[in-house]
Amino acid sequence: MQVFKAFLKILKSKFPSAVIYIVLFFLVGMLMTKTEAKENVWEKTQLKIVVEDLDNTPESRAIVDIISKGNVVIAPLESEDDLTDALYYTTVDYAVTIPKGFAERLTAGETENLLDTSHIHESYATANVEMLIGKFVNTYGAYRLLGYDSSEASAKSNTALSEDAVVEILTKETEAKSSNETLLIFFRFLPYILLCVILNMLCPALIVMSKKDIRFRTDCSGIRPTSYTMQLFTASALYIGVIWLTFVVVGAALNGVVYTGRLWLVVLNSLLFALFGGVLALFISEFAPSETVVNLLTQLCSLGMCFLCGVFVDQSLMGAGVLSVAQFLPAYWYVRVLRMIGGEIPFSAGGIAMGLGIQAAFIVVFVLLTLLTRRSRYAGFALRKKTA
Amino acid sequence: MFLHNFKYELKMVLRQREFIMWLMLFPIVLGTLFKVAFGSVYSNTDLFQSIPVAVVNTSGDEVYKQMFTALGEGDDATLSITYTDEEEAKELLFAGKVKGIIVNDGGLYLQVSGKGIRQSILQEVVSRCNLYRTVVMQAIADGDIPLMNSVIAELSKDVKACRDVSPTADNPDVYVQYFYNLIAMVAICGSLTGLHVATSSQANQSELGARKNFSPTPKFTHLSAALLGSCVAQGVSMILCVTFLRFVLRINFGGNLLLIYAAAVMSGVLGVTLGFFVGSIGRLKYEIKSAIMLSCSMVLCFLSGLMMGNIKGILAEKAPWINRINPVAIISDSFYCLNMYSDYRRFITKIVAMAIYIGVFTVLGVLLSRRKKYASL
Repeated sequence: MQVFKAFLKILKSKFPSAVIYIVLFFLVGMLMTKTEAKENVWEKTQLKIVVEDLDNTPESRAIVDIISKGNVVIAPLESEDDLTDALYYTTVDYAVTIPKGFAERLTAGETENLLDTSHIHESYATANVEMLIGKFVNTYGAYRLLGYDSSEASAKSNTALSEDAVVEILTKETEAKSSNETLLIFFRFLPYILLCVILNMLCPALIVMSKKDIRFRTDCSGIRPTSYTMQLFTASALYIGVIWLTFVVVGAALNGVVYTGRLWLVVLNSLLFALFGGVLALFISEFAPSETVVNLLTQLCSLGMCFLCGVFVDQSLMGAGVLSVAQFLPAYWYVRVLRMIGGEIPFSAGGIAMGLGIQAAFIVVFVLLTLLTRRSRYAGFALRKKTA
Repeated sequence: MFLHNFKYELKMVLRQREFIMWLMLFPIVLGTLFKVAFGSVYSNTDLFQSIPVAVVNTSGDEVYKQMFTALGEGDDATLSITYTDEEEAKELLFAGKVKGIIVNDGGLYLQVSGKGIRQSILQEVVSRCNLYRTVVMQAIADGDIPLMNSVIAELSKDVKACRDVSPTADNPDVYVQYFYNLIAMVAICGSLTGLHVATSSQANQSELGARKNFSPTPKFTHLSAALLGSCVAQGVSMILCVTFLRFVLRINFGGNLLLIYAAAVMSGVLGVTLGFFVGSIGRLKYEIKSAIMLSCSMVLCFLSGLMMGNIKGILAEKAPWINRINPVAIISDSFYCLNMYSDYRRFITKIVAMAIYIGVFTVLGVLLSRRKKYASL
């Protein structure tokens, strides 16, 4: 057990940096979860519209009422720059200014350029607000034709436009939505955090073990190479287990959830991904890069995989071509399993088994690649020694 | 002596081939992945396109058909309509081929399988059709039947009530900010070279530091030469990064390209000086300092929107001071300002903020590393 103990000692010496990584990445994870959860609720229900009423007449107030129904009306922002930023980052969807003289022009039967509006993206939100405004103008005009005076037409339009169409939500029986949305969002971002923490912590320790002097000493000792590898793998697995368990337990505690039923599949899914992170660290360390390079590689692997596989950007938004490339990465299958459990795509036992199975296969492939690299390097080294 | 040290610092940086290679490879690989992942997201999902919808007519009346036809016609049609029966409509809905089913059973109602902006628009369309019916029925009730055709024409009129006074953007694609943040991240990764400058001048951190402290060269001379050498190397990396993104991946950053290069080089210098400052604090080991530096960098990158594009907008609402002090946000904002604003007022503010950071980090780094003689460590 010397190798096992020595490796744990090295890991212990790296503990202060590990704590920094865990705490800060945990913070990032929590922020991601909170932000994403809010975003989902907001996106589905309301638009944020800046409204400035310079006319302040019954007609202008009627249109403000129409716009504010089911949406969030925001008071004018401090500056034009603030509005531009808000429109770009979509914290505001649309801005409407009702100019002076709006009521007079509307009463006179004008329908063109009645309001000054701002938006940056020709988005669905923009189309929705413009449709709403158009609907008001049309309805007001119709009531005026029917002989109502201006204030009556405004009031009647307002009443008529207050009636929403009935919407029925259909769900397949297999698509029971999960009630643990925030926990699932936390788990959606977990691959990034797990990869960062595991690679940043495990690689430097493994690199120390691969240093020439230590390897020479190990080679000339009585430890068999198989035993050496097994001890290294066991110590790494133990370390990964502790990290994974920390995130799983604290994640549940912070989201106020107890794991039951299908949530155990979420836990199993994350365990497989953590193990993949571990074997990836073992594989990278075989090439003994410097610590600085490991840091860059970590960011490259974690950010690259997470962007491509739908961790940061929802898989439903990504093109079919991108997703077919992403299928060659384990994070894609991790996210797919989560989407099934969350009810975003139809749940099937076969689909879950396939997702978990493919991740397990990735682990096996990387273990074999690591062993192969290790063997070829040692064989090459032995050969070089013989030749010398 | 300064030039001599500067020359050797540049040689040293160039000989760290592995690090240089990864620093170059980093934006190339991530930029390519970003391009693959976000290349068509904006045009396919954010920009308005006809909403696919199934229409099921169980009542047999054709009252609404004219309205639907009008909504589904033309290049800028609101709807892309499939007339079908109930069973097939549900299949299309669950397969994601339509966003909703409009059912006409005398009145109109909507069936959807999820919530979202497209479904909200469909609800708006159905409400509009129902509204027309209400108004027409009111006209009949009021005995205004002769006006019926005029009322219908008024309700169906395509009005352009909104006068667009929107701010102009060279490139309104919101996903381009991921590339701004990628450049900012590469700049902040330069902090690792700055960290190396600081630790390689401290006798208790590296053998090179011990030799430098032992030599008769004044500390300020070798420190400033090393810092300048790292800044030059980082500046070159930044130029290559922007060149690759702009000319190979053809990312439209918007704004004046020369100023983008200038801002990128300056951000690289900011990254190096940040690393130099962190490296000069205390007597912690290089590993711990680099862990602090990297994890803090990632938090700053997250707050700037590298992982979630809308975080900067949310922070602008809830805690705008974070965006104002976060160096990564300042860097990405400088590119954003060039894209969004035709005048350079805000861009200059960002550049000045970067310059202040560079000055403060350099001065603090020098102050913290001075008087640390070999004997005092």
